[in-house]
Amino acid sequence: MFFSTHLDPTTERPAQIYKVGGHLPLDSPSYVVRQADRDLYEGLKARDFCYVLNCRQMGKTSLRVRTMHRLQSEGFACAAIDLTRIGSQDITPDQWYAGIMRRLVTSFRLTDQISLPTWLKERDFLPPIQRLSEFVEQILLESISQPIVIFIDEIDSTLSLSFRPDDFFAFIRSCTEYDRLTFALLGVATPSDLIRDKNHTPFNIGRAIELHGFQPEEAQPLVPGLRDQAVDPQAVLLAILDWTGGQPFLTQKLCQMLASSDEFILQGSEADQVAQFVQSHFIDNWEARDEPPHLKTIRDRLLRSGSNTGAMLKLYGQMLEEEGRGQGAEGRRQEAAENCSSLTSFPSHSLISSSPYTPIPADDSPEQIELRLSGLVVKREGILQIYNRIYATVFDAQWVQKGLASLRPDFLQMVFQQEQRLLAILDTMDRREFEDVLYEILGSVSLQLTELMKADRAMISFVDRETNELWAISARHEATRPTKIHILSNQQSASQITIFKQVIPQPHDFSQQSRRVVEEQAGAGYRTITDLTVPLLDEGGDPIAFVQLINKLRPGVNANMLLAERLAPQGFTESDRQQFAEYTPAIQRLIERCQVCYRLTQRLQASEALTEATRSLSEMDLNSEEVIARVMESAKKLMNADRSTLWLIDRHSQELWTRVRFEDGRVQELRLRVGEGYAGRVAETGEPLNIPFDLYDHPYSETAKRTDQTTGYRTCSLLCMPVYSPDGDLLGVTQLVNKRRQGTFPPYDPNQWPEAPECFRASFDSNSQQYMQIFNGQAGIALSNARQMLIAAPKEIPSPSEAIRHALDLIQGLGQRTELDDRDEQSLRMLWQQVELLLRDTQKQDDDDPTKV
Amino acid sequence: MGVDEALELADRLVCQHTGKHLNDLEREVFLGSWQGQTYEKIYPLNPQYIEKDVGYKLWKKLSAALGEKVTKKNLQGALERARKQYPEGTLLPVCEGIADRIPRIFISHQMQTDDRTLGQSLGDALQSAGYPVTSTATCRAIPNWAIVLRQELEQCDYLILILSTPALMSELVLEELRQVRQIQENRRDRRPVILPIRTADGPSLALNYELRTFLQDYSPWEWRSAEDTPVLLKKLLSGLRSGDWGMGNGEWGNRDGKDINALPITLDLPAALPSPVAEPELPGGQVRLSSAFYIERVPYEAQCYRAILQPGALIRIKAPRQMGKTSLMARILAYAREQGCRTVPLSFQQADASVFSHLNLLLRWFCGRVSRKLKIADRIDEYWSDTYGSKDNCTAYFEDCLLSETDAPLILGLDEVDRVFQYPQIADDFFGLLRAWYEEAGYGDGDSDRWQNLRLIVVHSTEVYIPLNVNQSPFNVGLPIELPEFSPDQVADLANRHGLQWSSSEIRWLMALVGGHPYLVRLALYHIAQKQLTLEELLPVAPTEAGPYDDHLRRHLWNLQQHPELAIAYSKVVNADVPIDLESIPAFKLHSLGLVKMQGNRVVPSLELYRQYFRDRNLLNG
Repeated sequence: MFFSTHLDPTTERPAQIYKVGGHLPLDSPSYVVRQADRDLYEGLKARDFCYVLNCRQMGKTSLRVRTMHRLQSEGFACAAIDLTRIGSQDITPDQWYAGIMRRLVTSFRLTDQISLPTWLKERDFLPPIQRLSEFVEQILLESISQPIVIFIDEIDSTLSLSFRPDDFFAFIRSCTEYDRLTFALLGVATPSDLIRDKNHTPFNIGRAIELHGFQPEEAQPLVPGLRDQAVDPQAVLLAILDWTGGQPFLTQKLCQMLASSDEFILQGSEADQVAQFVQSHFIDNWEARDEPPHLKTIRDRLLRSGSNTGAMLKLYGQMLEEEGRGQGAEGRRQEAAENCSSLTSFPSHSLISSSPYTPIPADDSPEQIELRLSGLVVKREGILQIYNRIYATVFDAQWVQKGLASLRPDFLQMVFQQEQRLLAILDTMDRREFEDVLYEILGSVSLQLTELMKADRAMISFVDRETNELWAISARHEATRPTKIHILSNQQSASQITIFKQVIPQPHDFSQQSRRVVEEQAGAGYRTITDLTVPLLDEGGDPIAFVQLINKLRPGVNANMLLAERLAPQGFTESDRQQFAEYTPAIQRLIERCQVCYRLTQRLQASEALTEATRSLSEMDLNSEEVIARVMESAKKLMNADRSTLWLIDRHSQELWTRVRFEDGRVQELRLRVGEGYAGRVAETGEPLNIPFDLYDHPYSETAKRTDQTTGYRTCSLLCMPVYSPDGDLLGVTQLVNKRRQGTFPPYDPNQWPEAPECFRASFDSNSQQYMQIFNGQAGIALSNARQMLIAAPKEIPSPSEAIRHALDLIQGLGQRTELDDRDEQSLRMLWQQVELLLRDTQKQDDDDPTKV
Repeated sequence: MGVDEALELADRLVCQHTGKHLNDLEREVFLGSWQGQTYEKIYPLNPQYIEKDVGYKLWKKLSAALGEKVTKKNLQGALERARKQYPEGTLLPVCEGIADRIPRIFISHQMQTDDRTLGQSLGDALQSAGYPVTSTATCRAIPNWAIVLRQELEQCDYLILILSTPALMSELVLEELRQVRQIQENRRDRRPVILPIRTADGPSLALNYELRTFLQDYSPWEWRSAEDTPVLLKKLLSGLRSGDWGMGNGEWGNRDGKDINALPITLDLPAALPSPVAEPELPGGQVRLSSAFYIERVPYEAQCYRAILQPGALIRIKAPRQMGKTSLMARILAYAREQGCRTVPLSFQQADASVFSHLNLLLRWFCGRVSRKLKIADRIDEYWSDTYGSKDNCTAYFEDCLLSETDAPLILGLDEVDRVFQYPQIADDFFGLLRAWYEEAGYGDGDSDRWQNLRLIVVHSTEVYIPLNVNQSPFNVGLPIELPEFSPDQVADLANRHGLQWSSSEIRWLMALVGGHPYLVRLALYHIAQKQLTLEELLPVAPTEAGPYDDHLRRHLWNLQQHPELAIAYSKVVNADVPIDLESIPAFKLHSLGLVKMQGNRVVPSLELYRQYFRDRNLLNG
């Protein structure tokens, strides 16, 4: 027998002929010579540029070590460059190329011929690739007379450099002109990941070396180690390959574990015993047993790959299902295995029998390529297959389901956290601009979107229907750093408002318009090549926001590359759309809540302004025109009205009166009979009157038209509301004229009368009415106080913290409603009262405590 | 970068680090050096003084502030790098004066009467001198002491650390120092300053390995009896007034040399408390008293001894903390040394956080530590050229300086590599380099010989939870060792060595509580062998503050409270009666702390002791 089985630990035990993880040493007895060994050797010998691009743990490095040794023994001069030893995230191109040259100098023992630092210094003016080229031509080829082969391993590590070494690959291509110099590249990547320029890629002139799993006839070196474990080690090997599909790492590991176990495999029960062994040693509790990591790596590659995860899992799930359907054939094959004698077919093909399932044809879609690079699936004869039974058992349908399910919560969790933060921020609103809040909340969502969807930019545009404004927050994809988020505040250009109104039938229009915004913001030269825009609609089908993803990125890009290099050629795919569709409900909910909160804040701010304005009413002499003017001025500003008037009632004459200050400073008293005109009507009925644009179409507009004709003013909309004392007596009427439209418009020109000017083509909305009601309530108190010269009895003032808590409860209560447009006057009034108390309190504290800011 | 900008940056960095601006002379030296002038040119009157004194101190200051060795020659490069590291706006414009604030003082002491008394009298005196003082005793009086303690450490300017014999073996003191170091790194003024007062004497006066790491830059004050108190107070008060702290009057351990690493190692006499941390190096040539209680981890020692003699060997030791990883590593290193290898233990816990900010800094630190340990002249500056990337420089340094000097293999014992996991941006590159070296050794071509002489022992407590590129990670090659806890036989063996003839049921009782946790078992055996209490007495008090595990349990509790996500997860674990599912990262972290056992993908409390102690506690606020 070849190997002794003494228990003396110093002698080599059978299990030690196997090697699990890392490359096999040259003298390893368990090295399996494969077709690839011959292909690579012959290719290089024929001076062909060769490349081995494959998934991990397939034996690339072992192959390289062997081939290099063989070529060296035949007189080739060889060097191997492991790029992980050179490249790091912070390396510059100069340093990277210098590292390659240094490696060549040491490998070919050129230290006597050249002092590399000096040599490099003399060529400081050259671009790094030129230096390499000159080095190869003047030093390498001059000093070495034999044929030269340079192996470059871990080529995929170029993907994590901060620059794209495209010219390096171009250089390798150009080296075909030297018939003494040949390259071999090895790594886990696709040619198109490595270099995008089709004209300079070496991969279309080189020889691709396919690295397959062990075939039974190749795997003979594995048999000796199993001799002590079985009556028929050959049959055991076949049973092993049946489970591993010939995958080198798993095959070596399974052999090693069997060889070091107490298992003895009887003739005829090879398949059963190996199956049991695999179940108990690989599959049960696999996460804990996966040492050195192999399955975990595949898992991580699938679950942590970012945007492709969903698509990959779905595709893989589909394959599982299909191959499950083929299990009738599998069962038959297993029966055959039990008979053992008939084990003549290729075990690794056992999963793919010609049974009635529909195999998935291999294509080069990103998810297929990703899956193949993970090692989980393999392309065999144009068909995509799960690599082996171990994978199919470990990563089963249940696992796929779990993976898919965990994808969503990730994002949903994050949205949920943002909601929590939103509430928290409201707690401490302390007059922060709402933009800041939006920035914080939606900014991180859009950032996350760029990551998840692998988009260069994501933009959330937020429709504020009250103000006819469109806000946009956009985030940029960057690998490591938090992204700068811009708020395109008040992007209320005419075009954009119309966009959102018309967008439903044609979301495309919106995206075209918003592209411009993004491109402007991103700076010169930025172009939207691909995009995916989804409108978020409320229950009524009106858009509340748009989420737009711009420029789909390739996997493995970094921010330093040019945009063109980073883009995924196929753009956003159907699976992106599906994935995105899973996120939209959560985003929608968050945005709705943001909107609710936004409105709430607006109201809060309005209430505060009102309090400020009306406070002066209670403090000053009512007869002062100054005060009335000031109060009405603030009401006007708040409501964005063009004019405002406070009419007071004169009970004796049944008239309304006011004083109007003209531009020349002249003050004139105006009087109006109760029942006459709009204000008069309000005084008569006690009901508010909100006349939207265009007032001239309103049945009672004759008086207004007549007045306008004499003054040259154009009344377009109007809000007239009564002012009551706390006891319910009518004290007067407030009148706001002409809601001003948002945006920049030419000022009103009286010569155009009676045509309605652009700037007044707007109406007071329900909010304005609400504010005015509050305002008038306050004005009423003040007016009656002033009238009676009474000071309101001091109320019981709650502590500030209580007041805050109460106010916040109210906010929360309001915030939790889905539809806040329900005007809840009571709540609002209470809210406002709380705020007022709060203000009064803080003011008092401020007075008491001079140090307090 | 212009000279003005450079000077400004240097000044800010120094100010941030020391609290003081550069003085006029230093600025002149800086300007001259930047322009490549000689010392003679810079200050013709007395170039000697400028070179030996002003210059020397300036380079030292700059080195400390920039986190790399700065010399007259590499000044420009160093500042360029610093500017990349601290872009505009990351530095605060001016340094705050700390002198005009009354410094806060925290006194850390053990709860024994002697220590308390000393702490009390120092505290009273300092308080009456007008300094705000808090102490361990005041914190402990509060239910959520752990949170208060952290706050006090964060706020204090001086930490008076009373190092009595029990304090030297206290885990809580280690945790305190660990957190203080973290606080110092985060605070601009690098406070609190640690003022160690050594009251310990006898055989245990040497510091254990971790204490050495924390305290090597400090020299202690000696306190032998109450008579020393007034002298000590006088010194403290004058130091507090002037802000100028001379050296303490004492030394760590032996009196003749300052090199702490060269000190004799704590002898684990049965009379001494077992140390909570292991020594990474066994004393060479001495009778190995510390081995008296070392239980062989059959079959791992033999496996590792065999493996380490193989060319290009890589051994990975993984187990939760206090499971004996470092001891095993120390033994492998000692064995290899006997076989003629050169050995270097290197704990990543020793590196400042700033080292991990940049791959370049980490690799320089790495090379520097190994050179120093091997007593090889530091030629790092010579090798660190900008021509090549940092990995190349490091590889060249190893090839030329560390691996080629002699034929003796070089064995690196890398302890606590978990620390690197916290910095994913450099972890991939760093581990990728280790893996590439390992692979190089196996290629069997020209360069392999050298790399076959490099052998690695990688020690970590956490699962490798960061995604590392498989082909570029050292964690899926080499010999994996996962250290289990002691078996009943091993516990019986240990009891025997303590002179305790225990029945198997006694062994079972103890193990029902603390399993085969090496440190906790030893602690119990020590107390029982010392006749301080019996096994019957131990069991009920063990999970309480009155028991011998108080210090150990408090450290866990405190640590958990620093990490609320772990505290929440753990409270679920201890309050469940069945194994529960946790997310993988909290599960790994709890496992690495030794708090949970994994059962498949689920976890249970690792020890009954922990279940009992933590179950009744609100983990979030004490």
